[in-house]
Amino acid sequence: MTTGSTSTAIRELRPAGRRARPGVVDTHGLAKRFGDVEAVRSVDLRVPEHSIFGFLGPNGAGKTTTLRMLVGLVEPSAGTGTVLGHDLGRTDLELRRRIGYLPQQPNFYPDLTARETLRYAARFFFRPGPGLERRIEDAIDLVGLGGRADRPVGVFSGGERQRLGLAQAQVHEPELLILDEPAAGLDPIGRRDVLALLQRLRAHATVLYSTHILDDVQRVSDMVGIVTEGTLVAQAPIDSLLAGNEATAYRIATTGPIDEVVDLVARQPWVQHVEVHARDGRAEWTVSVAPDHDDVADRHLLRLVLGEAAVTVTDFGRQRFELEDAFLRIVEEQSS
Amino acid sequence: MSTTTDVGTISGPGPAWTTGFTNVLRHESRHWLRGRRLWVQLALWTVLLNGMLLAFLWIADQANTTGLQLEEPAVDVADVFPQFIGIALLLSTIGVVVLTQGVMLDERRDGTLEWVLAKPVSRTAMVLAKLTAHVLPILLVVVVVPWSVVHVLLSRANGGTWPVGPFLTVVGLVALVVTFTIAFTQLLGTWTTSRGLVIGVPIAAGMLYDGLHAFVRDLAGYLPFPWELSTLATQAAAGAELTSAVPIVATVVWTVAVVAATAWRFERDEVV
Repeated sequence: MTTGSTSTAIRELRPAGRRARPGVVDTHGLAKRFGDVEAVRSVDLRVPEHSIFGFLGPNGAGKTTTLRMLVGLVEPSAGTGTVLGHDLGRTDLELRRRIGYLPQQPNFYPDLTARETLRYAARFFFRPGPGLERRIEDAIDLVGLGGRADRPVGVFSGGERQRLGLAQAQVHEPELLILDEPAAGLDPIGRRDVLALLQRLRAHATVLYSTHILDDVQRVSDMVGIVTEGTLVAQAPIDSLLAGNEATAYRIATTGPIDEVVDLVARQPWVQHVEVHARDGRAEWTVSVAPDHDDVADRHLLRLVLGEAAVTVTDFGRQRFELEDAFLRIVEEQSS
Repeated sequence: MSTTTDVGTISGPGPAWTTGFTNVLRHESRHWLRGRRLWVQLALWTVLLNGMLLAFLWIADQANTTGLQLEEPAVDVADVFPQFIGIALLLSTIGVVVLTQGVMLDERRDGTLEWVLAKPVSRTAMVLAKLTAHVLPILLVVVVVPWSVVHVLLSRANGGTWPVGPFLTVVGLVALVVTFTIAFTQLLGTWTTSRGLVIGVPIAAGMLYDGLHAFVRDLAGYLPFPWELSTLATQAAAGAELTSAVPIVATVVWTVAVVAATAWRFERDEVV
């Protein structure tokens, strides 16, 4: 497919011919210019319902500006789109009742406690009363701020502010959470907690979050969009992205003499390419399989190798790309 | 998580432009209702304005009893009060600008607006709520209480109750100037992130007006600008009839226009 305003190809790994359901977020050629600076060039985003959508990109790629346009804090210079069925616009208060937003660097009123901050946030949605207080309590518990809820936010650490930011974003149980770098600045335990929280939130919400921490995306996301230089260059289910466009490949680790068995494997009609790195009697193989021959390879490849009695297989499996590989490949392709 | 059934959901009562007004008003009022700020400012302004009046009265008294030659001799209370008006208005303007310069500016500079504006709150409601939250306490602190004491001091110095009608006219005019100044400062807080400009422009505008006023003395009391209220207040303080109502009407119109311009500007303000 091509974007609305440019001809930049977007990798969208969806089975051909199947029409996608309208997303919770749908944008077409979304762009934003600040004076001479083109912050976002063209973003065609589709975020499926109840997904955890990781919005990836290098620093300055346009992630924050895109999210701000979705929330209505910044007006698009070009392009169209809907969020939860509402046209993108800056004054749609009804939409804001249905979304929760965490800014990249959440700043709060330093004189208010966390509880008072959440009360202020919640009163935009609910009338004062016991029900509202219970919601605030739930939100405090959810993000693990129980012991610090009545301290002024001014003395909070960066991680605590981030947790409070998450709490205020979801205190009204929105259908869509838009989180800008929710795990930025957190220590490993804080990051783990935030990722676990995202997974819990997906039960009742769609989560769209930006990050440049690839490991986090790989752990919790089921959809990924990659933006670079203001253009969305890829979006796909994470499994498709990790599989890549290349042929299926297998990774084999062996000990013992391998020359004959390498020849044997390479002669198979369903094998495209065999690459072996051998050293000190140990060898690491990469066997690429012709398209549509995964099943054959699954059944026969390991048997072929084990057929050579002197060879011991210490590891075997399909090669899996790390998200970092896919990300770098896509970003570098786009840059070149 | 709790369910939504036991929570009163606010589903947009009233027109959209008022959405969030009550919440922001309650939130913003904390600046005056929490802590000692209200009491400290109340004491400060009461002492400042009335101390100045006492100083004027003392100088007049000294002039009468010692025959001291003053450049503009103020020999009784009726002469002192009009002279007090000009300096009281100048001080009030400076004080009010300092008190309110951060109303919009702080939120825009500190980054708190980004998450608040993502809530269902109308920006116009936010402007109006912030204005309301500061106008009422400031009128109490800078006008109502200190000027009540001014009336007591004038009555004491006069040897009988100071005429209430003209005095209330003066207080009303001062309140109008203060309200306009708050609105003007708030407007500047939406146009610029420079604290210097937000503080400097309203004060400089008042001083500049005073300077230019000397060139159009024949039009004194008729000019359609808020700063012209100083002329009317001085007239009222001297017990004279007001020259015209033009500055009063103009100030009301200017104040409404400034608030509208603030809302208009803030509606278009992008979070960057």
